[in-house]
Amino acid sequence: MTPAASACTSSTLACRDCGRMIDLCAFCERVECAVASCHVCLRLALGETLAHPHAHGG
Amino acid sequence: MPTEGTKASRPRAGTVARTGVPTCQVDDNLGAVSQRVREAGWNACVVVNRERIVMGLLRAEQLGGDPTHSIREAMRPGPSTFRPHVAITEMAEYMGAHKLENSPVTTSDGRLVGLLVREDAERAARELESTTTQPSSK
Repeated sequence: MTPAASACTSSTLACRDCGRMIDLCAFCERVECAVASCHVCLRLALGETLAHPHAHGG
Repeated sequence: MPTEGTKASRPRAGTVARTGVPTCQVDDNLGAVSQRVREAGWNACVVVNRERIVMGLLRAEQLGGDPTHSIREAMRPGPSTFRPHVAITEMAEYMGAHKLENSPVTTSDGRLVGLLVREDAERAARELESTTTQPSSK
């Protein structure tokens, strides 16, 4: 892997809710954010989408 | 955008957002746009296309860039946008926690509704809290 490709894929920021590694905060778009959220958790928190139950649950 | 139900009267991102936010297009010149934005008393400008679809955002940092650059070169492309129905309390809380001064509010197809300014969101959230926590006079 070239250094450039490595830089593109490395992320050191974690979503504060689910722990997923993200490149930047979905809310403020900063690479360094103490309360970073991923897109999924942010949309759930703001009520823009709903968490769907497992398709084969039960 | 019309809403209904018991919480329909509560302020939301779309009702608190300032609709008169300055806009520009990608081929405009940054120097001219920055001057127009400053004269209008703003520190942000939303980059839109002819259909008012949000293409980018210029916050104070970008507006202070090289005035010979085009907006295309200077803008933050594809900024995070929020839907008009999002509750103002959530937006105020997030904007405060992230120290974000403003956020674009758009329809689901990306059309600009307005720019939500943090102080407006926090004021609306405080007013809502004070009206919902007041003791009943009965």
